[in-house]
Amino acid sequence: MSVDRRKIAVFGAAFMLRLLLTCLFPSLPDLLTGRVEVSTPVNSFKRLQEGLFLYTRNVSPYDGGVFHQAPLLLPLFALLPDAKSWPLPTAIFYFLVDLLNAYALVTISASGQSVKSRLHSAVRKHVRWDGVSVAAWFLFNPLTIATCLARATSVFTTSGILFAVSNAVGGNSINAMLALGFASYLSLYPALLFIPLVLVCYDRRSEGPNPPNVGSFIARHAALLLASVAGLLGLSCLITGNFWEFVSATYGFHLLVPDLTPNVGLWWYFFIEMFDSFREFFLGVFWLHLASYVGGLTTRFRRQPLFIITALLGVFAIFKPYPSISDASLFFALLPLYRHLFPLMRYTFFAGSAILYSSLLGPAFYHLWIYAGSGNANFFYAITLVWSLGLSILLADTVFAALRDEWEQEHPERVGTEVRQV
Amino acid sequence: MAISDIVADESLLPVLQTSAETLAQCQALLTLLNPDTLPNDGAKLRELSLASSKQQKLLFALLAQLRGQNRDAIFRVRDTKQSTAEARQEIDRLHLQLQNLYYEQKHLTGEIAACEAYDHKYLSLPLIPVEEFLELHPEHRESSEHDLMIARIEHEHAEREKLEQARQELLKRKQGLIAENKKRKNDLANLDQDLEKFIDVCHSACPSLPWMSLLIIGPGAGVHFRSLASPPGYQLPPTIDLSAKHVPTMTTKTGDQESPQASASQLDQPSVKRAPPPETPAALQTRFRVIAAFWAVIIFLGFPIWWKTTSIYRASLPIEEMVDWADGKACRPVFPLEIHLATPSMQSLEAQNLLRTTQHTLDDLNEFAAHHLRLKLTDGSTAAHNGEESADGLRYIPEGTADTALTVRLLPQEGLAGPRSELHAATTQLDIFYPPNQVPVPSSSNSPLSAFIAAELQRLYSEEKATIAYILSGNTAGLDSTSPQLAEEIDRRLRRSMKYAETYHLSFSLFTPGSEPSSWDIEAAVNEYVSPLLQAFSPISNFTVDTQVQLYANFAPTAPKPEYDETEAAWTLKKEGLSAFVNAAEWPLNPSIGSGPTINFILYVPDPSQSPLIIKENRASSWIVPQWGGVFLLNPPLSHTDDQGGLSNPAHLSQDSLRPAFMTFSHQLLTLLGTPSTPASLPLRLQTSTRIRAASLLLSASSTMGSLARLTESLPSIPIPATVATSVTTTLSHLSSSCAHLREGRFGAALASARVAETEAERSFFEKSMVGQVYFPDEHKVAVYLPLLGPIGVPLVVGLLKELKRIAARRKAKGAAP
Repeated sequence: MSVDRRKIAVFGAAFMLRLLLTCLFPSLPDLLTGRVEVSTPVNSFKRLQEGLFLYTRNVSPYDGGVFHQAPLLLPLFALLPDAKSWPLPTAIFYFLVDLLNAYALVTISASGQSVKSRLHSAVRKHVRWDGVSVAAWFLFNPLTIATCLARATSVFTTSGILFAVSNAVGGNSINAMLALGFASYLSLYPALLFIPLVLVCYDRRSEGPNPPNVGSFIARHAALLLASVAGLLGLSCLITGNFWEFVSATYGFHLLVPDLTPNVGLWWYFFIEMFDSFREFFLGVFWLHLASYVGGLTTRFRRQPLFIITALLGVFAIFKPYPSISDASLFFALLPLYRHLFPLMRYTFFAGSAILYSSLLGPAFYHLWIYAGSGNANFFYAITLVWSLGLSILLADTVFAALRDEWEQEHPERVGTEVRQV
Repeated sequence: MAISDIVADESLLPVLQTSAETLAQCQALLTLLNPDTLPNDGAKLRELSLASSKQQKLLFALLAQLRGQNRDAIFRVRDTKQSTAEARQEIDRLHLQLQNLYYEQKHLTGEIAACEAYDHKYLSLPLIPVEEFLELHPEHRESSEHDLMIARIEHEHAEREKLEQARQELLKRKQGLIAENKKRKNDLANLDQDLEKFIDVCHSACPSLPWMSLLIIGPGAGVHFRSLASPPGYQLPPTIDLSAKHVPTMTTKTGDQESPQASASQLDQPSVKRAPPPETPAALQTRFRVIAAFWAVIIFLGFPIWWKTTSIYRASLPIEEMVDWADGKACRPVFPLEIHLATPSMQSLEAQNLLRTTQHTLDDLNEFAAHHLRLKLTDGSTAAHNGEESADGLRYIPEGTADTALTVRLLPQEGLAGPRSELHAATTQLDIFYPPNQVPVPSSSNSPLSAFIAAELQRLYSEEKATIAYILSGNTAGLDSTSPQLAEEIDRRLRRSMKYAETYHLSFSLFTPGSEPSSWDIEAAVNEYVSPLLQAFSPISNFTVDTQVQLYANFAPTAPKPEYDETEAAWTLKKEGLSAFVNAAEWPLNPSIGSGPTINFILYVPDPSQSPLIIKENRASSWIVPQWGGVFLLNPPLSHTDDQGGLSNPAHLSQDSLRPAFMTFSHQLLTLLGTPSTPASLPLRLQTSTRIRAASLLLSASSTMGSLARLTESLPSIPIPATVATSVTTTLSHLSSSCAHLREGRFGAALASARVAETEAERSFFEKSMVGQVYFPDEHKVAVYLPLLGPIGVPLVVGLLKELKRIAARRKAKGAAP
């Protein structure tokens, strides 16, 4: 009963904190909505409102060339009262989505899949946090709060991914695929998580009696995912009427990266500087680079499929075309599940400093560049490089720690020895 | 020297003979008409005149014959010259060959000398002396010096090989000894380790020796182990379990900060460098799979994307053909002008004769082969018809027939001393009036009339000929007879006229410094005075017309002000100051509308206080601004408007008052479009214009083709889209059809083809997607690829190499095991 009380306390406190911030600083949500670190062209609430405006007036929402998000969000937001005159209902809706995400995290943590799965069992099983602490990490993470207050639509992708994972670890593979389909439908890139997610489901299923055939299992789930995405696309088609228009405005926008508004990622500056004739080639290179991690990580961490998902989310937060701090917050949300790896990490201080440094200096340099005019684009880009460096170090360190954990499991006699990377 | 001595040629003898006969005949005639022997009797006189006329006819016959022979002789001389020139070329060629052979011979001699003087290595070989060698091999005693040397060298070779073999064997032995040495050393070191372990065990068993453990374990605490490779089969001594329990207490004593877990493994960290435990086959396989996964993405997705996105599409172009066009090899433009000769009042035989003689004279006069006139006989009715038909000068004639450049009508007229010509200003017709008695007799090969016609035609086309020669060769040097004035005139005209464009924009502007006139009858004026001209020019270019009225248009502050001239009773502008007249900064004269160039026509109505305004030097009221347009100063009659006797311009300019201005403008337009100033007939000038434009467009399109060919040759990395290839094909086909049209005298069709060719050529040359990559050389690609792909690629490549090495090593090991 005490656990439940803690849970209620954490959830209630998180809700109250958000409510307090919204009520005490009424301009804060709009300020955050305008920040490039939070709002990218594919998750900006402002752009969503533009699309909504067009949609409620029976004009194709993609006509303005501003809105690039999935069309199913439109009827959803059309139900809510106007965010300009009645900001609170929309804000509370976002708070609730955040709490739901936290609930999914609690489920994931409670399943214990992160420390002990079918093929792997961590050496330091006892070093772990319970679900409520993990949820608290997520709910009180400033990045999560900023994303939530800025009402970025990436929180829906986050919930899609988290529910997919929580259903998968709970053994409910059909729901997992449906949730992943929803996330992929919103942002395209979660589709890359399909293989590790299917492995999670497969491992769960194999723990029971008569394990299914791997090939048919994967094929069945792929078909399920495709069907769910196709169903959502069909619904969208009903809403917008013009299938190709919305596909090119949303997925084409994700794939071809035509909007080079600054964000915390690495793509925008690179493609501004790129020679036009090489643009297509480097688009291919960047996307392949993003996708190539799936194969490598899946092979290497076959025994910890949940960790593949975590690592891939870290990779996405660094290398995806329009990253924002919400992607980083999702990565940070899953990290506490691997509390047992923390003692094995070596550069936490360095990574933490780099991330803190860039998240404080980033807005300052952006201000210098855009408003004060005393800096230039290189200031901000340098800071985004530091941010990505910090995340990369953290990711690499986590991967290293997981490898070390696996190695220690194989060689129990050498637990704790120092290692040198070669 | 007698003439018969000089002229020995067989073929010329008849000429001599005929001329002698003619001379005799002349003398006979003269004798006959000798005034001393002239009879005074009437009957005799008549007889005499009969006889003399008979003689005269004979003389004429002889003269005609002589002329014919003279012509033949001249032709023969030409032939001879031709064959001489050919023979000379042949000789030159042979001479050149001879020289080449001579050089070859010299070269070969030099080579031979070099070969003979070659310093071969064998000469400096330290061979054993001949005597010694012969003692060793007596069988060579009889052989020649050459064979002997070969044998000696072979002997030396064999000796040296033997020695080398011996050296290798010694080296091997040395290696073996070194290896042995090393092995022994290792054994010693192992002995050391065993000893240390023994001491450890001993130490744990006998705690009375703490200083010893400090010595041995202390350094071991900081040593790393490698996680990837290890000495196989390493086993801890069985006593380790026992000893491990005791270590923690001991290490704390020695001040080590390691955690208990960590120090548990310290025992297996000896003081020397230690390798980690072996990798399990599963781990190896996993690593192989990881590397394979990355490489699969690169090979199956990365390379196709790279290939697809960076390959340059280069459509194939007919380079050789393009270069041929640029070099003028593909087409030599010729301009055969067809001139119809209408002789309504002449017998056909007479007319034929006249035609023949005139053509002869024309051919003799012509010196520019590309441009020649062809006479053709028509009967009067078709001639008149043709004349009307081609009144606009440029209408297309049905396929297969040549354009009629000019119709010459021969009309007899009484009471004329000599022939007289009259050129119709509005049609392509030249009337020639001649006294009827000047009709040439069929037998005669020359007549004043034909000479006159020929000279007249020559005169008509001299300017055109000079211009075409100028365009084709770039200067007038090819034409000797062109007077310097004419050459200068052509040069000036070409400099003044606008560059050819597909579309010209005509802009008519009314400028006035006051408020009036504020309207003008421009539409009617344009329709009346300009449109017919534009209609006539429509095959050459397209035109758009726009107009504007600008009130309160002042001169530029820096422009010289008009001055009042008492003698002229007018305000005058100095000639030097005219260049500053147009206030380009403030007057809204668009530099360009749309794609083509703009031709500006400015009608300036001066302020009443400065009226009338004229140019000081010549009282003119208009001038041309080269390659820009024309200006006309219009001084309308002033009217009294107010009580103070103030004068003002009329508020509206009627079509009539615009008439002088627009006549001038149309003349200026002709000049700006590069129409020649002669002949007087407008259709003829338009025709000339057509031919000149066709020639210049042909040249320009050909040279554009050449430039494009050179460009694509010299920059192998630029893409050539399919549209360029299509454009090039279209250009070439239109160029050749244009050339064919020219050859057959259909200039209108030739111009139409040349225009298409020029447009397509320009389009292909300035294709955007080609231009984008012109300045992107291959070496820059390294800078594009490396910064990103380098960092990504290095770990991947290194990983792949390591893995391959491992696989190779395992193969070898497998191969060695059985």
